[in-house]
Amino acid sequence: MAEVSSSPTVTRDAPAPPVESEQELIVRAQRYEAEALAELFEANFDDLYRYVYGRVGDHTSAEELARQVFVRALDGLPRFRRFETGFAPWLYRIANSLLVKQSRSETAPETAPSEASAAARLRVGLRALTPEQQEVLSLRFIAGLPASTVAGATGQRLSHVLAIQQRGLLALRRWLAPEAGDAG
Amino acid sequence: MLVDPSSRQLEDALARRAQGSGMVEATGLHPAADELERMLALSEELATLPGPAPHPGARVRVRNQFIEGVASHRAAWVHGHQLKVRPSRHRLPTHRLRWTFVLAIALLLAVVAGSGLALASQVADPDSPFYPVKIRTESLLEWLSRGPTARAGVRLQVANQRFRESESMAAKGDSRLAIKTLSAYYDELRVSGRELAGAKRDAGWDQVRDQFDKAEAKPVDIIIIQLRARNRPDGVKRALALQAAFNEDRKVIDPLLKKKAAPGRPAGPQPLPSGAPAAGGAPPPAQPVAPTP
Repeated sequence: MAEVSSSPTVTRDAPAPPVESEQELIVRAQRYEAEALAELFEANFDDLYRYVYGRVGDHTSAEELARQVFVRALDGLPRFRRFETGFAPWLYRIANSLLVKQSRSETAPETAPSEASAAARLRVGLRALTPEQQEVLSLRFIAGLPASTVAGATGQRLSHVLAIQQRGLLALRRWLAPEAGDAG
Repeated sequence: MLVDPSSRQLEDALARRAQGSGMVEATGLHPAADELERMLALSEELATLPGPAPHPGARVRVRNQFIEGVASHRAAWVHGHQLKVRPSRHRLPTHRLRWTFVLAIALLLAVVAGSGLALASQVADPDSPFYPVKIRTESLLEWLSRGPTARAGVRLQVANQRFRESESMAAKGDSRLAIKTLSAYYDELRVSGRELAGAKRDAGWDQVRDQFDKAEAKPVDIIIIQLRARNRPDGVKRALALQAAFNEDRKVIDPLLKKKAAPGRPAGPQPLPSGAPAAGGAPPPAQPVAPTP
């Protein structure tokens, strides 16, 4: 296993709970009011871009993916109901959905490419997981959301999210270093 | 061989690590500590994946495309967004019954409105907007009556109405309408007398004949007194003239309305002194009207 970082910042500060003003903004955005949508864009674009960059690893793909996410969000806005978890997790989930769709057309390698950088190996390893595991690990560690928020955003019980998180991390760890599991 | 930590052990370790604990402190001392440590390290590697802030150009490009999409979505939403019509809580049972119900309500409203209008018109004075309805109703009643005796009875009722209206108008000081209705009163009496003169004598005829006597005996002096009190000398003059003319006509009418017709008396119509069409005959002595000077 690679040397463990001493940084304790596994989970970033939890995003502020959605205040009423964001809910009002979303309601206005659901009527496609340009000002509300522009405000939502400005408030979420940077975080979304960094999140999708974390998944794809290059600026061109990140920009294209962010664009697709906002296009999808426009289509799905009238159906948005998860006000309690906020707008950003919803955007992240759209990005996950698009990435899973893309990865279905690709064949994930069975083992990690040895010559790639650690970050690239992690991204490839993530794509080798199940869609559920990809989503939970990405929301939890790349987006830095608390487990309870992930549960709210995905509509699952907290215990189920924790179980997916545990199985996903184990699977990713074993995919990255299969020999470490038998080292004992 | 590594032992897998449980999902709760992993979450607790993540929480301790996030609070600043060292790796050993976060994982604790249990058989799964080694695997737990590797998983914590992996989660921290994942947390390093998010990239730098986007290039301003990327933001502008995505933003422009997003705003373009907003305009088209807004247009589609405005055209396609319609309020759902909620079904009534108390739905009518069937289509047919619904129309029956509507028709019944319409009929009920028509009856209520018609009755109200009829009642209002029956008490209407000549200066009322409902007065034409009253006149039309009287014409209809006359048209519906069959036989000269019945028509004479209706005419007498109408004559009584005109007299009451004339009294009312005189009391209000409206001499024009008072004279007009008084004239109509005398005209109705003349027509009624003509109908009675040509009708078959029977029990019904006798009854209507009695009504005729009561109708023609109305005290016209009351109208004249009212007109005088309201300083309507022209009205007084015309009322007296109408009264005098009718008294002249009565000289022809009354003999024809004797309950037992004189044998050999001509039954054909004779001209009245006032010029109104009526049956003729020897007039009885006229009842003098003594208007208050």
